[in-house]
Amino acid sequence: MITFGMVGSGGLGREMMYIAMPSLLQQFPGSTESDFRLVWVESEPQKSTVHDLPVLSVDDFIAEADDNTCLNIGIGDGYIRERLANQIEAEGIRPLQLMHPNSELRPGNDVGPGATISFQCLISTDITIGKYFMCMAYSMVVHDCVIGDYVTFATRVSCNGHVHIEDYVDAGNGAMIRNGSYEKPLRIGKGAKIGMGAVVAKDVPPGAVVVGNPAHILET
Amino acid sequence: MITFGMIGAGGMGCEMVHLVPYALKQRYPDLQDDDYRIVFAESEPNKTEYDGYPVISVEDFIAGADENTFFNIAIADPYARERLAGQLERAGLEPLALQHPTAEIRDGNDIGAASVFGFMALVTARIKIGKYFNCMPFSQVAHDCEIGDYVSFYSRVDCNGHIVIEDYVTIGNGACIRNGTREKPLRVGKGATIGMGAIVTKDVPPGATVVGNPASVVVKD
Repeated sequence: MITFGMVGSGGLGREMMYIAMPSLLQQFPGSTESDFRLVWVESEPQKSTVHDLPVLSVDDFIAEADDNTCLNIGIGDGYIRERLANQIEAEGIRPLQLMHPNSELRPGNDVGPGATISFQCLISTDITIGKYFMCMAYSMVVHDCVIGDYVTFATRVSCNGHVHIEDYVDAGNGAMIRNGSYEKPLRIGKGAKIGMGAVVAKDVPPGAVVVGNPAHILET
Repeated sequence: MITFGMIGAGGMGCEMVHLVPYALKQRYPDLQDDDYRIVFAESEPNKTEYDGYPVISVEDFIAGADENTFFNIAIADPYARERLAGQLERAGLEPLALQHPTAEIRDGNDIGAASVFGFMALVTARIKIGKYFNCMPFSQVAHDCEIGDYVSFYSRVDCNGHIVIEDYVTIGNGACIRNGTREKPLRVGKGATIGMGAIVTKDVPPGATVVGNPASVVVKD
């Protein structure tokens, strides 16, 4: 029996759990649905079941884990994702990549562990992506992009060619990032946030929040 | 041996080259992987290999061509695309249309030669499209549109119903064009450029560049 734990049973986790079974069936060839047990994992569980699947505490999930236990993390905040990933992976539990069957992840790209590629996403060619990338429905990443660790794309994000996105960046629904060039990639700095529908036409400094068309820094 | 030449060894070329095996296998259902080869061709090659394929000059590509040689052009500039298309077609080469298997191009539309439709592109009904149309992933063309020659749609362009797009128009990622009507189609003039994310609600004059929401003409200094 293989146990898959989805850390976080909120909206994002429940969206992602839907992709768990097809991903498990694909990554364990010859298996059937009855070979897998799906559970939710929460730091502080509020209920005992969600969608008829049991909710475990992180401690209980770790305590009952064996070599056949894997996880992914349905939490949008990249920093929390990192903390939980480190805590759970330190116990020998490995991440499972979640990949919707109708997305296209072309061969030859380098995608780190724990990625989630949701419905009808496109990851095209010559792309490097770090750990626990979250790519929600209809988002795309095209040629020659480099994406760091714990980066989050909401739905319908367009990341055009030669864009470098550093760790912990969060891009909102429908955000578009203009292509860079081989000589000068467009760069989104560490921990930056790109607002919903923003049209990013130039570099974004680390930690900045940008919104609008064309995107500008939101002063706080 | 079938040879396919992708003209333009840049980012667009490595995106489009992925579509070539689908197109060849549709044309030759029994085609095996070692029955064809893919090369990139450039007017002035500055490398010998790109994305795992050899890069040769356009002249050498033409010189080595026979009746089993095909091409398409991965160059965003519509005028450069026209110039290269003329050069290759005059030499007797045949362009090959490319279409991702998830793209939906419904029957009954009139689509010109050498079109390219990327992942999840959609062309619905009563649509006429000219030569060398380039329609990148997630873009859509809706009912009753008329699109000229050498038009480029970047990803996620929404071209709604009853729109006329003249030759050489380039439309950026995520731009939306409001529908026109049968009596008065919305018209995007020859050679116009529509910026990324622009929301176009009225006619665009020939040669203009428009950006923003709602889209307005960029005044050049």
